[in-house]
Amino acid sequence: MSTPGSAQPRPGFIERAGAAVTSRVAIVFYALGFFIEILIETLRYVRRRPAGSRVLAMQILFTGVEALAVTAVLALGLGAIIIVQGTSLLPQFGQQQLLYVILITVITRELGPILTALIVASRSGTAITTEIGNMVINHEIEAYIASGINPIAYLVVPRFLGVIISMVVLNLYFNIFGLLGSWLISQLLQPIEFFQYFHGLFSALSVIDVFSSLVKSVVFGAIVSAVSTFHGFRVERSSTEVPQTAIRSIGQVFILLIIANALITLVYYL
Amino acid sequence: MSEAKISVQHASFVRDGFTVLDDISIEFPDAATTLILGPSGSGKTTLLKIAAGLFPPDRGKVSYNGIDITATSGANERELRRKLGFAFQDGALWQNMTIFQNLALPLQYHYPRMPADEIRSRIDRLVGAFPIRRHMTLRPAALSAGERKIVSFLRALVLDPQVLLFDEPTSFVDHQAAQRIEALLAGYKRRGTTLIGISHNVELTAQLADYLLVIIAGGVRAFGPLREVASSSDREVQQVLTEVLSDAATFDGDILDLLNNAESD
Amino acid sequence: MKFRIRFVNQVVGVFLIVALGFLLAILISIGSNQRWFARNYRYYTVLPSASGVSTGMAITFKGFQVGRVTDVRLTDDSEVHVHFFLQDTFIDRVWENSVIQRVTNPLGIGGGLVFHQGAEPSDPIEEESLIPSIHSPIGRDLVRRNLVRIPDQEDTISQIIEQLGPILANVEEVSESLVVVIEGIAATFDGSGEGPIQDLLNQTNRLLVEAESLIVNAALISDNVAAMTTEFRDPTGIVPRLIDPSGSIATFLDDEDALFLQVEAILLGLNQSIAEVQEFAEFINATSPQLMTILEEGREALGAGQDVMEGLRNNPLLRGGIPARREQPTTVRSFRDDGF
Repeated sequence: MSTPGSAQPRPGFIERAGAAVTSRVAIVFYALGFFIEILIETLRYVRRRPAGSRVLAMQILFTGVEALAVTAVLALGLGAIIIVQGTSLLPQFGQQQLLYVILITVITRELGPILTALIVASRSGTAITTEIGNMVINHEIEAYIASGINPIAYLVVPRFLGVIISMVVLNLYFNIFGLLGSWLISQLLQPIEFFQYFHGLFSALSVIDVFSSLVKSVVFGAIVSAVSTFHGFRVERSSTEVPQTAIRSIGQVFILLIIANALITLVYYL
Repeated sequence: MSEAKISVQHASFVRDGFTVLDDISIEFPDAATTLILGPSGSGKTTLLKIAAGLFPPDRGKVSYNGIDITATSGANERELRRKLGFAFQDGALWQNMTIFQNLALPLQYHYPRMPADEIRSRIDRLVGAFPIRRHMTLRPAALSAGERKIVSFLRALVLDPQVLLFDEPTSFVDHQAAQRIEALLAGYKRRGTTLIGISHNVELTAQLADYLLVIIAGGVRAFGPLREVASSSDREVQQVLTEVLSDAATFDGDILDLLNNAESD
Repeated sequence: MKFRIRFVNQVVGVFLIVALGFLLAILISIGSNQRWFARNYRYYTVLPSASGVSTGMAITFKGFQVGRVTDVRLTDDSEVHVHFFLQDTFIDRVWENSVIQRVTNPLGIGGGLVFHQGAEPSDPIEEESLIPSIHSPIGRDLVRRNLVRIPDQEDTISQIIEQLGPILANVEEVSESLVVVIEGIAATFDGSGEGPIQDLLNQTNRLLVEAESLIVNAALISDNVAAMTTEFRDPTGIVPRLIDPSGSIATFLDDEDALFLQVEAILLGLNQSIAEVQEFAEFINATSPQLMTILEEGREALGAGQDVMEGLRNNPLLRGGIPARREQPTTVRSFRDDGF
C-alpha cells in the first residue's frame, strides 16, 4: 500500500474541478431530458387520458383542496392589512386610488403566485419527493416499469398536471380571498363602501395582471412538480437518502421559484 | 436449445465503482425454464433485472426477439412489456393502492377500454385458491411478507406474459403457499411460457429447471441443461449448488441425488 | 375510507368549478368596468416634453377618467406627440376648442392629463385630429380668448398651492391700487388728471398765474416808482415837477388811492395763495395714513405668502427634506462605563 508504485495518485485540483463540472453539466442535461420527457408524456396524457386520471384527481385533492385553508388565511390577512394600512395612509397624500393598484400589485401580480408556490412547494413538493423516493427504495418504480407502465406518464405527469392545476386554482383562490374576502374583514376595522371598493378594484385590475399571475402559477407549478419528482427519482437505495433529498429538493425549488418570479416580472415590465 | 427470446450481450453493470456484472453474454432458451444460481452478492438479481429491461446495463445490450429492450419506447415498449412479467423478491407492491388495485392497474393501463367487470373476473380467476382473495381491499402494508410476494407474483402474471421472470418466489412463503406457487409455475411451464428465475428452493429447482446458470462474482461460471451443470466437475460450481440449494448447506452429498430426491417427493 | 378520498372527483370538481366561476366573474367585471367592447375615439396632442406622461396614463375630465394615453412618440421634427383615446360615452362632450392640460405634481404622483372642454357646445372634434395642449400657443390663445372652460383643480398639493391664490390676488390688488395711486400722482403732476388734489393744484396753478400777472403789474408799478425816483433825482426834472402842484407825487397822492389799492390787492392775493398751498400740504398730510394702510396691507400679504412658502419648505414630503436632527448626548451612563 505504501509503496510509491502502487499508490493511487490523488487527482489534482484541476482534474477534480473538471470532473465536478462534467458531472454537474451531465446532471443539468439529464434534468433537461427529464423535463422534456415530462412535457411529451403530458401531451400524450392529455390526448388519451389513461388510467392515471384518478392519480390526477388525488393530486389536486392533496395539493389544491387541502392547501386551500392555509392559502385563504394567508390571503385574507395580507389583503386586510393592505386595505387597512392603505385607507389610513394613502389619503394623507390624496392618493386613495393607489390602494387598488397596491392591492393588485401585491396580491395578484407578486405575492399571490409566489406565496401559493411556496405553500405548495413546502407542502406538496416535499411530499412528492419523499413519496417517489420511497417508491424507488421499495422498487415500486421498477414494478411500474416491469408492468409496462411508464413511471413518467403514470407518476410524474399526473403530479405535474395536478400541481400546475392546483397552483393556478389556489392562486385564483388567493386572489379571491385576498381581494374580495379581505374587503369583508376590513369592514370590521375601516369600512369602505362595497360599490366604491369593487369599482376601484376592477378599474385598476387589467387582464394582463390576471394573465401574468396565471402564467406565473403555471411556471411555478411546473418547477415545483418537475424538481420534486426529479429529486425523488434520484434516491437510489437507502431510506436515509429520502429526507436529505427532500431538503435538497425544496431548497432548489425555492431558488428556482425566486429566479423564475424575477424573470417573469422583468418580462412583464419590459 | 430452442430459439433465444431474451438475449443478453456483453452486459456490464457498475454501481458506486463496484462492478456488479462483468461482460455477461447469455441467451435464455425459449419455452424453457432457466434458473440462475449464485452466492449472495454475485449479481443474480441485477442480471435478472437487466434481462427484464428494468434498467439498462452500463455497457452491452439486451434484446427480446432481436429488439433492443432498453431502446424501445411508447407503444412498442408497452407491447414488449405485456409479454414480460416480473415478480419481485420483496414484492414491490404499490403501497398507495389496495391489493385489487395492484392487480388491476396493469390491465387498466394496457387495456383502457376493458370493462371493469372483465378486469374483476380476470383477477378472480388468477387469484383462484390463494387465501389473499379475502384481503383484496387491504393495502400491501397490512399483508405479511409472504402474502405480498404472492400478490407480486400474481401481478406479474395478470397480463398473461410470454416470459415470466421471478426472483425467489418461495422464500418467506409458507409451505402451502410455496406449493401453490410451484404448481402455478408448473402450469405456465406446461403452456410453454419461458420462465427465468432465481430460486433457492430445491424442490422448485428440481421440478422446473431445464437450464441452470451459475454466476459467481458477476461473471457466468456455468450455463447449460440442468444435469450438465449439476454434474459439473467445477468445484466452485458444485460448492454454489450445494450451498445455495441446501438452505443450511449441512450435507455434502451429490447435488444430483439431492435434485433427484426432490423430484421424487 | 375518508369522505374526501371516496368522493375525490366531486370534491376536486367543486374546487375547480368554483375557481373557474370566479375567474369568469372577475374577467367579466374587468370587461364591464374597462369597456372592452366599447368604441374608443383616438386623438393626439403635442406637449413640450414627455416627462410625466406615460402610456396607459388616464385622461380625466372633472376627476372622471374619460380616456387613456396609448402612445407617446417623438416625431422627426422633435415634437412630443401624445396619442390617446377618449371613451365613446364621453365623445359628446369633446367640443371644439377643447384642450389638454398636463398636470404635474411636486410629489411626482397623481399628475396626469386633464381634458378641458371648449366653452361652446359643438359637434365632437373629428377623430385622429389634434386637441391642443394648454401649453401650446394655440391652447394659450384659446384660454386667453375664454374659449375653454378651465375648472379649479383639486388635490392636496394643489389645495396648498391654491391657498397662495387669494393671497397673491390680494397682493395683486394692493399693487394695482398702488399703481392707481402712483398713476394718479403721476397724472396729477402731469396735469391731466382730475380729483381733489388735481383741483387744488389747478387752483394753485391758477393762483400762481394770477400772482404772476399781479407781479408783472407790480413790476410795472415798481418801474414807474423807479422812473419816478430817477425823476426825483433829476433837479431839473421830477422834483420841480413834484413841487409843481400838478406834478407826479401830487398825482400819486392825489389819484384817489387807486395805486395804493392796487398794491394792497396784490398783497392780499399772495397771502391767499400761500394759504392755499398750506391747505394742499395739509391735505397730503391727511392722505398719507391711507397710503400707509395700503402699503401695510401689501406688506402683510407678502408676509402671509412668505409663511406659505415657509410651510412648503418645511414639509419634508414636499421640499427640502427633513432638517438635520441634532443628537443630544445621553445623560445616562451605561453600566459598562463603570470601572470595576
